[in-house]
Amino acid sequence: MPPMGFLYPGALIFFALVPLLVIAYLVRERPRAVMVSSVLGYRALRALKSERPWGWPRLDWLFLIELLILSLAVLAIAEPYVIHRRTPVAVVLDNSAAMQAGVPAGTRFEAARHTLERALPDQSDVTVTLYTTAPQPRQVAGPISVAQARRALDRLQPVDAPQSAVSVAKLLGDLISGHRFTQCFFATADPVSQPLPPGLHVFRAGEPLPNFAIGSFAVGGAEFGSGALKARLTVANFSSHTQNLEVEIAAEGKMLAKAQTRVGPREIGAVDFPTLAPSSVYRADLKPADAFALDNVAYATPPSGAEIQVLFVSPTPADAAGLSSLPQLKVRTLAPEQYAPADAKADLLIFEYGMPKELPAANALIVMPPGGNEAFGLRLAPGVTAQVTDWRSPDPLTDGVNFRLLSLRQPESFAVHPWMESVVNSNLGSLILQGKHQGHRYVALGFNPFPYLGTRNLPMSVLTLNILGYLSGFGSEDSGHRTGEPWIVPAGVEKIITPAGRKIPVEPGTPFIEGSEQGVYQLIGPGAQKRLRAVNLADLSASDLENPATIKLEIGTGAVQPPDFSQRQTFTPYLIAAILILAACEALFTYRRRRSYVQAVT
Amino acid sequence: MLGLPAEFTSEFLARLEQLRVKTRREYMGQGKGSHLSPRRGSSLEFADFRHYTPGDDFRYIDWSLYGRSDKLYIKLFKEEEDLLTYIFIDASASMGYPVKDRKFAAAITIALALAYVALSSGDRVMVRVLAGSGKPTDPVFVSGRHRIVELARQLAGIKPGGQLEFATALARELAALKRAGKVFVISDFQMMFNSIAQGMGLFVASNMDATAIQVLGGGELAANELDGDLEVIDAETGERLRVSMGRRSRDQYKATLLRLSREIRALCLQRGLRYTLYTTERNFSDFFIRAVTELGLVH
Repeated sequence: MPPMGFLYPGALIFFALVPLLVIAYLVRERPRAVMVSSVLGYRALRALKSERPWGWPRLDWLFLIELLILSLAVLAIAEPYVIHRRTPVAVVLDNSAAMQAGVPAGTRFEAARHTLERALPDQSDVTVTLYTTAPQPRQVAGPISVAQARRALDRLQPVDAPQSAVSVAKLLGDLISGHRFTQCFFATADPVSQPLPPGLHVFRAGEPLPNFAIGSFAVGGAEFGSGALKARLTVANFSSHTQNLEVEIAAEGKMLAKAQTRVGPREIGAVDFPTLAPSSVYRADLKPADAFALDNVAYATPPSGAEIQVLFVSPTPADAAGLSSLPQLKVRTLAPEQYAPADAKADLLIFEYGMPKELPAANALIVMPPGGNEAFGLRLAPGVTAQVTDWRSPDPLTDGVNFRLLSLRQPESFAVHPWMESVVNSNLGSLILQGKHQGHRYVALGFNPFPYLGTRNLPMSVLTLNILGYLSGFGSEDSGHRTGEPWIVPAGVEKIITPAGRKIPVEPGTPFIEGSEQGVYQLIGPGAQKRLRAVNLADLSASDLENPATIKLEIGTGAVQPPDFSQRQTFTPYLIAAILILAACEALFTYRRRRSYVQAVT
Repeated sequence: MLGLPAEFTSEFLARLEQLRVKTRREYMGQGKGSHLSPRRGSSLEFADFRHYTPGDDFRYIDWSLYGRSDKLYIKLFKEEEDLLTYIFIDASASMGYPVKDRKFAAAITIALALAYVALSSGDRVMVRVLAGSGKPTDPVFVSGRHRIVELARQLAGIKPGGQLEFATALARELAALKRAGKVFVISDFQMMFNSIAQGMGLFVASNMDATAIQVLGGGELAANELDGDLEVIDAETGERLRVSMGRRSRDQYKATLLRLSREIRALCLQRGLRYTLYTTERNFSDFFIRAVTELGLVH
């Protein structure tokens, strides 16, 4: 029974009015004297209470209602309240990929979950708010009861994504210093910096384990336009002794290649497969097996064998003529006035002498844009550009370009850009700007490389191929997509099927945040067009089970008065509501009685 | 009209003139009239035979009877005389309550209407007021319809008041009367039933043909204005009674009054008397014309 009380108990003295009122009612007012022709007709009627001392008083609903209203009013003045004690508890469960590692009794995740379920206090006033840490810390349930929290914990599963130690530390800091919880229970496999602040209880799940992992797995071609494929893997040995690591690459259930490398303790090695048979998906398996199976497997997809759709927006569409001769490119031209962002469903957009009004949701090449563009913030440097002065090397854009032989026709230079970096500089500014924004790649040129002339203008053609290769994703140094990291839905994709078979409708150009699962995702476009995308754990820090990253808490550890979560609930609003209802009933009752009386008289 | 109640319109008076008082017995009057009298007289109504004695009028010898019996018989005829009509009005305090009901005014109106009927048919009328305040009416008969104005004026000066011992007061009045006749008693009969029975029994004993006219107030019967805790005071005795009036109580009270009325009616019928009830909320003219038979009148 929660404790109760009155905010103004002195007001209860008004309850003395109640018996006074009752006495006054029982004593009765002096009856109204009425002269009648004879009392003969009244003799048979019921006598008054005052003439029958032990009889029941005459029932008068109005008096009873008024008595009740008075009592409620006195109670409302005294403001009765009840104190609800509340013990809010935060439960943070590490559901990162590392929690899938096995311990003798099961996985770290199961151990952590059971530990938390046991740690939860069995008090009725406890409310639990449940958080998970991967891929990003988030609240998954609550505030809920302890029993509900245990059921919610049972339903949780680890994800294939790592957790961010910084984000977890920030979450714990917010939970502890936010004074929203009396205690915080955190179960993880990662070490937490000591000393712990009061109220935080950390449960370590699992001991350090030796582990071997695939760091990255990329399959690609030698160069843009070539059909040959090669693969490269990085493997790590997170153990205290040198280990021979064997990698098998398989496709469509058949082993394609096998390689072995010897990696020293806590070292990372690389395994190259110079030639691979074409396939849509490749799977790499690392041996020997260990307690953490997730990072012993990696997937890769080759660069898309399908044609790269290029939309060439230009007032001089003839400039795009030479591009059609390049393999894998399908070029469509469009006049600038015909361009609409919603219709531009292409893998690569080229804007010649023009700029879209807003950033396109695809990789884009901007050729000699007019100055003062709001979307890109491109500004032309004043003056006449004379020559190329320097360039960034090594860089995929400048790789193999002989700038000394590069002849530029009426080049323009860009001023410093807020988020694009200069790759090639002139005497006035930047000739080539390169940048990424919301997952898309953008390149701006201060000169026009089109029309594409092939070997007739070799330096410009090499530069053009480099740019197109960069913008089409070819030759990227990225090792693919990582679990837990959002990626932008490519153009023309309507639906994504996860490795578990879940179908998710998507909108091109928007971030896809459901990629916490390791495996191959199917990107479905119109007409059942399908592209594959491999997503791997690919985070060696998560695979280091012997020396995981420490979660560094930046919270004061001094004794802090635990916050009082008692909640006082007053009944006064309910009492006032009851008074109003009773008053309305009384008014209705009185009105009806008066009306019936008037009808009887008339 | 000439101090008469408002109900006495020309039309109403014309209709009253078409009525006359009817009795169940024959009473001797004080003069010629239209009612058969126990006296032998010269009306067309045959009464009896008697032996001829010298000096009798030959015109009344029944010759056919002489032929059969060879004896002379004289035919006797009834006399037609006026009717002595007594109207007793209860002017006790109970007739003044409830004030709004104007019971006593209604009683006077009834009395004047009855008196007008009697006077217009050549009968003699004596109006006696029981209890009340003001100048008492003279214990004399009046005759002639023009005397109705005088009666109205006399009755207008009387206010209800005082306590009425019904049987005692009637006994005193009847003792002063020399001849029997038609009696109208107008009262609310808000009194003990025994007293009513004794009073009405006096008329039977005095060979009077009586009609009891009970006057109740409309508000008195409904008692709608009585609500809540009350101390009711008897207008005549001053007796006080505390009651709680509600819907059920009012129903019970009304039932009591109506039961009392039924008992008075039954009493009158058992004793060969007439009874009628008038409640003041009714239209007087309408009531009077409809209740001709119950009042003891005839067209």
